[in-house]
Amino acid sequence: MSAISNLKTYLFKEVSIAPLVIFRLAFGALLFYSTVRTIQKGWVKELYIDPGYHFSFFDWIKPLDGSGMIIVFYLMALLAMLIILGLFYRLSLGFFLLLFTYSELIDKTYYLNHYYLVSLLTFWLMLVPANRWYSLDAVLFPKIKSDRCAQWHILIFKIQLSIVYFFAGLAKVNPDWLFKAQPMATWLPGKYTIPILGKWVHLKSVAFLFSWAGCIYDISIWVFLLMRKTRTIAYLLVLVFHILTGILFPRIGMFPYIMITSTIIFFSSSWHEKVLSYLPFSGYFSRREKQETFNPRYKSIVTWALIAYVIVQLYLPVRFLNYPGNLFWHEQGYRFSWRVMLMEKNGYTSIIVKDPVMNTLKEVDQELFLTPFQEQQMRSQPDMILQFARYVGDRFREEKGYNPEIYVKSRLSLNGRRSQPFTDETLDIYNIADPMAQGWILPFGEKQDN
Amino acid sequence: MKNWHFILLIMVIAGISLQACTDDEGGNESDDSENDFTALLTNQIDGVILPAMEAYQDEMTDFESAVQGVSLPLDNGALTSLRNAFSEAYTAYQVAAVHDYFSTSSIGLTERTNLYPIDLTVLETLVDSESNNFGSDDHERADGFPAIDFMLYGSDDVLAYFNEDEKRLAFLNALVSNMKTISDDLVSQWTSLREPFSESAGTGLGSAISGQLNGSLAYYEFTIREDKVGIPIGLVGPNDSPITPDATKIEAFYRSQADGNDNFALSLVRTAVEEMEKIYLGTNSSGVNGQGYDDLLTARDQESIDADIKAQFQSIYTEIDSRSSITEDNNRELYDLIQGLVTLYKSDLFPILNIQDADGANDGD
Repeated sequence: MSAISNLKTYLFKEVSIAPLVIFRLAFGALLFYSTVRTIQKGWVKELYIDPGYHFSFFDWIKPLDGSGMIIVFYLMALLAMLIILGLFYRLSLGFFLLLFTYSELIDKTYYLNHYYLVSLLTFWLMLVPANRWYSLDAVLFPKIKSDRCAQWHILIFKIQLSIVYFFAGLAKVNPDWLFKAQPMATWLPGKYTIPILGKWVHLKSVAFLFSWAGCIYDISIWVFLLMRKTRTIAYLLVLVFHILTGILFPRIGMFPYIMITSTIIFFSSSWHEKVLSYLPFSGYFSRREKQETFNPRYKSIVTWALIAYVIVQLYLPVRFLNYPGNLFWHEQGYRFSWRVMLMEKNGYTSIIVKDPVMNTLKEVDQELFLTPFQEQQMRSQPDMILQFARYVGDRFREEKGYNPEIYVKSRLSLNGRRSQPFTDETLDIYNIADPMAQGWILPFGEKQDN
Repeated sequence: MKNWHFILLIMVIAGISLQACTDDEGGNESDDSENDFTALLTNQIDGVILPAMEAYQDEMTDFESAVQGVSLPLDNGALTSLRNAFSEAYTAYQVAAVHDYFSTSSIGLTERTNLYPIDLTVLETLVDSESNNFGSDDHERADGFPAIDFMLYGSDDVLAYFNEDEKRLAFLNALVSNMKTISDDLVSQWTSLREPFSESAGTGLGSAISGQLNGSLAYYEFTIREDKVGIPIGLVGPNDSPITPDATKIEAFYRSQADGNDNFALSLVRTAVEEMEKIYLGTNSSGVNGQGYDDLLTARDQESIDADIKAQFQSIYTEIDSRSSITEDNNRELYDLIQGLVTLYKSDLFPILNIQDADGANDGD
C-alpha cells in the first residue's frame, strides 16, 4: 500500500492556491459569458420553449413551462457572477451545476461534449476551495481565508483536461480521419471565403495536414502542457489550434474559449501568483498561511474517490468496445467520449406507422413534432429514433385507440461514402423489446464506397 | 523546447509526405475553380429562375386580360378561352413555385396561390360579400388556382354558374388580378436579387446554393411529394386526418372530375418535378444544359451519384406517364419514387457539397 500512501501524500501536499483562484475567475467569467450569450441569441426560447417534443436523457426531465426556462438561464448568469466574486461559493456552484446539467439533459439534440465538460469542471470546482482567496467569502468569513490548497485541488483539473485531449486525439486514430482525411476533406472546401487560408482549403493535402496535425495535437498537447520546459510553446499551440478551429468552424461556438481558458491552469503557481498580484484589491488579501490538517480517513476517501473517478473517465470513452460493429454507424457509446468533429453523417429517415387491423400505412410528418434541428440530429442517431418512435406509437395508441406497428426507413451516408440503408425497415420497433439487439441497425458496409 | 521542435518536425514531415502521397494518386487534386460557384449561380438565376418567374408573369398577364375580356352572359367560346388561360397559368405556376426560396418564399407564393382543397362555403361567402381582401385569413381556404379550378370546372353547368350571379365573374376578375400582382412582385424582387444571388459565396446556410437546394427540396418534399401525392393517397397528413386515400385532395380536383381523369393533375406534378431537374442540370430557358449541380458532382468525381439522380428523375416520369390517376391502386409507387430523390439529395448530394439542411440554433461539435 505504499504506492497509495505516496499518492495520498502527493495529493495532499500543500501548494499555492493561486492557480485555482485564477481558474475560478476565468472559468466563472466564461460561464457568465456563455449563459448571457445563450439568452441574447434567443436560444432559450428556440431550444427549450418552442419545440413541442424533447429527446430527454431521462423521461422525468422536462423543460419548465412559461418563462421558467428563461428564469433558469438568468439564474445561471447570476450564479456565474457569484462564482466570479466567490460569494456563497459552494452553494452558487452547486446550483449552477444543477441548473446547467438540468438544461443539458432536456434534449439529446443539443448534446455537446464541451457542455458535458462544463458540467464536469463545475462539479470539481464545487468540491475544491477556490473561494479561500481573493473572494468575497474570504472577506465575509475570514476563517476560511488561506492562500494554500491541496495538490489535488489543482491536479484534478489538469487530469480532466488531459483526458479530454487524449481521448479526442485517440478518437481521431481511425482510417477515415487518417487515410481519407474525412470529414475534413468534406468540410474544408466550403471554407474558401476565409481570408488567406481560404486559398488552400480545397486541397486534399490541406485536409490531410489538418487531420494529422489535429490528431497529433490532441493526443500529445497535454503532455507538453504538463512539462515546465515546453509549457509556453504548448500554450501558444493551444492558442493557434483553437483560434484556427474557431475561425474555420464557427459552429463549435464556445469550445475554443473553454479550452483556451481552462488550460491556463497548467501554468506554474508562481505565474498565477504574479497574475493575481496585478488584479485590483489583491493587496487586501495579505498572505496568511493556514496549516491545514486533514484526518487520514478523509484523505483516504478523497484518494480512492479520485482513483475511481479517473477509472470511470478512462472507461467511458472506450465503452464502445462492448458493442459490435462500426461505432460511427450505430453510435452506441458515442456520447460522453470526447468524440468531436469525426463524422459527416447525413441522409433521410422516415418513420412509418402501420395500423395492423386496417392494414394502412402512414408516414409520420416529423415537422409536426420536431424542429428541423431535432429532425436533423435524430435521423442518424438510433437511440433518438427509437425514443421518438416510442413517443409517436404511444400517441397513436392513445388518440386512435389501436396498437400501431412502427417501421423506420432510413438511408445515410458517412464521411463521403455513398449512402446505404441504415435500418431494417421490416422490423416493427414499437412492439419488440430491444431493436438494437435484433439487428435493427443494419451492418455498415465498407463496400458501398465508390 | 526540444520537444516542440520535434512535434513541428513530425507535422511538417507528415504534411509533406501526405502531399506527396496524394499527388501520386493524381486526379484527386482539385483546382480553385471547384469553389467558384459564380458560373453556376449566374446560370441558375439568368437561365432558370428569372425565366420561370417571367413566364409565370406572362401567363398571368394573359390570364388577366382573358378574364377582363369576357363579359356576361358567358358563352362556350369565352369559357374555353378562360380555361385555356387557366391551364397555362397553372402550369407556369408549377415551374415558378418550385423556386420556393428567397423572394418566392418571402412573398409566400404557394400559400397565397395554391392551397387546396378549398372550402366551397367560404368561397360562396366571399363571392357574395364581394370581398377582395386577398391574402387575409378569410381568403385562405378560397384563393388562387384552386378557387379558379372550382369556378371554371366545378359546376354541372359552368355557364349558368357565372350567368346567374354576376358577382362570380367579378370575383374571378379580382382574384386573377391579385394573382397577377403577385407575379409582378415575383419578377421585380427576383430581378433585384440577381446580383447578390450570383455573387453569393460558399455553400453554408444563407448562401445562394444552400438556399436554392434546401428551398427547392423542401418544396419538393412538402408540396410535391406530400400535398400533390402523399395526402391524396392517405400516406401522409396531419395525424387527425383520415388514413384512407381521399381523391378530393388532389390538385386541380374539379378539372379532373370534369375531364374524368387526373391527366391534368399528373401533368402539374410532372411539370414541377421537371423544374427540379432543370435546377439540377442547369437547363436554361432555351433548353441548353448549362452549369448545374450535376456539374459540381462530376467535378468532384461523383459520377455514380449523378447517374443515380438522373435515373431517379426518369423513373418518376415513367411512373407518372403510366398513370391516369394519382390515387389509383398500388399508389405508393409514385410516392416512393418521388421520395427516393429526396433521399438521394439528402444522403448523397448534400454531404458532397457540404450542404446542411437545418440551422441548429446552438453550437455544434
